[in-house]
Amino acid sequence: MDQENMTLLQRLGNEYKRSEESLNGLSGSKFHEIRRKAMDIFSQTGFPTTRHEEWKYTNIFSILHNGFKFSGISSISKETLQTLVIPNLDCTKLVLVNGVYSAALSDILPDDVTVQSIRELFRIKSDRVENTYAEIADSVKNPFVALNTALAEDGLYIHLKKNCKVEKPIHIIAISDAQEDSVVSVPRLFIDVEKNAELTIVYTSHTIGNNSSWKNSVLEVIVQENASLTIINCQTDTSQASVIETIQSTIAEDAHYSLTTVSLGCNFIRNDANVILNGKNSEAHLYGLILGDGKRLIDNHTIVDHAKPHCESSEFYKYILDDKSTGIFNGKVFVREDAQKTNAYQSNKTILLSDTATINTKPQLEIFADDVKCSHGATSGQLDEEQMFYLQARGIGKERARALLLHAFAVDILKKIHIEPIVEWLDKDIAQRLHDEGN
Amino acid sequence: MLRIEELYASVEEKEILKGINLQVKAGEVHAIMGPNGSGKSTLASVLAGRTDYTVTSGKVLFENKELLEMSPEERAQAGIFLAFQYPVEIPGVSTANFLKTAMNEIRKSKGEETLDAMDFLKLMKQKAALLELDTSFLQRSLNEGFSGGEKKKNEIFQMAMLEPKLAVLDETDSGLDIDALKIVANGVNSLRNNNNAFIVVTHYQRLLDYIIPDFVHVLYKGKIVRSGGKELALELEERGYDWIKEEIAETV
Ligand SMILES: Nc1ncnc2c1ncn2[C@@H]1O[C@H](COP(=O)(O)OP(=O)(O)OP(=O)(O)O)[C@@H](O)[C@H]1O
Ligand SMILES: [Mg+2]
Repeated sequence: MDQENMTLLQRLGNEYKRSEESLNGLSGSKFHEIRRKAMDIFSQTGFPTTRHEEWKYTNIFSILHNGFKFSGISSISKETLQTLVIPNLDCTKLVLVNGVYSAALSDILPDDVTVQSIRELFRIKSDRVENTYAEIADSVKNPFVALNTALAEDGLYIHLKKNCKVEKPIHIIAISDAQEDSVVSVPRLFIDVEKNAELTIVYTSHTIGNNSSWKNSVLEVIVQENASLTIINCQTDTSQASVIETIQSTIAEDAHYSLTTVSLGCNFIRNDANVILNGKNSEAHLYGLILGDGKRLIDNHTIVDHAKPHCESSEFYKYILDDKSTGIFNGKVFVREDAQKTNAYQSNKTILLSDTATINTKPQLEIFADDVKCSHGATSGQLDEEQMFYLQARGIGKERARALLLHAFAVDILKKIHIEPIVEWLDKDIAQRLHDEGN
Repeated sequence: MLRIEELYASVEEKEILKGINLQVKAGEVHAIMGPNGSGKSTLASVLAGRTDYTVTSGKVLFENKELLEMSPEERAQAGIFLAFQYPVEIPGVSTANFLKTAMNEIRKSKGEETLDAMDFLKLMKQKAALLELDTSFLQRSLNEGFSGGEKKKNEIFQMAMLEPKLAVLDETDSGLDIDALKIVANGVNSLRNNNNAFIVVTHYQRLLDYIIPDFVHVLYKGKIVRSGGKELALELEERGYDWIKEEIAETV
């Protein structure tokens, strides 16, 4: 069969085989076994259709096509990278091009943080990786985790030693290079924050070039006792890009976790942000800011699983949808029998700027404990007319007034990001997208 | 400056303004009084360009331009200012940022240079002092959590910043304590000059002790039924509206 006549599924299978052959020296390893299992699972399930409850509004087949290349290696110039960095952000950069780590483009790490090749760790039979890799992000539960696990030939293990507080954020720049061809990539990260340690990760997703890209990222996250991890996740790819991203986290006793996702670009986004609060007194906060226009689709699925007592979680997602864009928010909260004194809060607010934009919101609270505080709320509507008139009556034109109010709506989420250069960078991008270039 | 001729306006099919005639010249202060529901705020809203109200007939000229054909922002840019009876809260927009945007939009519309941050800050401090406002409110969200009186003061502060040609104050005095009333009145008086004019909507003669009007009008059932000098306000204070209502009933 030639390339043209193969289905995407067959090509993915071939890609897996090709990649298995390239992993020589690892054939008997645990890595090989994990990948094979994942491929088996994916082969059985295939891509989810809209009949699948979790994919009801999100038609993955709209982005799948046969033109994708699995071009692993690609090199981009330092000048190109410079156009993607966040101005004035003091950080340690780690660069992934088409999912592959680029040492040449990345910065030297501070002493307390180690970043290692996952494949290499399997080769030397590291216990940590053998015992935990692909355990947290479960292939059975999500076909795209399975696909990522099967196809990722390597990944980055980011490890912060206990008691270390790293001031400078680590900025992971995940670039899809679609200059020559449409490209698929499977970035894979494993973030391991030990006891009492503190770290901020900035994960930004970019596509360069005019061809389409499909990035299927998986981030596995462990936050150990009394540690703190903040992830700031920015999706600013071109409108030819599709992003499917799973961030699966497990949070131990007294630990703190926050994930802020800002989706400004891409034509298709599906995020699965799942957290298990797995030790008492732990905390998780998920925030989201979404701008949609054109025919873009942005789907956020979250699961917050309260497994232990005295934990706190909050979710706060805001969407601004224009034209024919579609937003989906599906937030599941589980409170297990043991998880007494749980405090869980969830909110989804949407401004619809056109009659043809839609939001599908589904909160799902499943509570098995009796002494808990859980609340959720969802609102959607147009811009407030009284507020519009007030601004106009002060000489502010309609467009500008609209932008001011939308920015005011968005600012709650931006305020959760405590790093000024990131807020400024996002603010500028948002202003441009709202056609509010400032005065 | 402003000429209103036979103005009729309705909301949701209900006629509220029924033939208003009013002329305001530069340098003048006009007070409009009248019972609740008589149409005072409606008149103010129609002048500012609120779209909920439909003007069914009549004409409004502002500096010889057809006001009713202008958008709310064009009216503000031309120099009309409405101090709202009920100012809205806008969470997430600071008073300072809002005013800076407003000022610069107005300046741009006239082809003037925009103010730089330093000059703007200086001006804000100066005007805030005029109204004895603590500058900390400038960084707070616009009107959010402000007390009733603070909101009213903020309206006058905005007026002081924007220096309009014609300001319409809709019950700016309601909800103000006695000291605040004096401060607001002083603010208005210090802005008065021969080139601007004020329309002051109020229920209370007390405000007019401080802001002395050139004319007092009584609006009743959508019409100006009586006009006079500042003595008219004193008379209303003493006698209420019944005698006017009776006189009208007799003439019908
Ligand atoms: N949006 C609206 N929908 C329906 N009726 C309205 C609306 N706005 C005003 N009205 C009615 O129009 C009439 C005039 O209202 P307006 O607010 O102009 O009175 P006012 O003279 O300012 O009264 P007050 O002294 O109480 O402020 C009232 O009967 C009011 O109920
Ligand atoms: Mg009124």
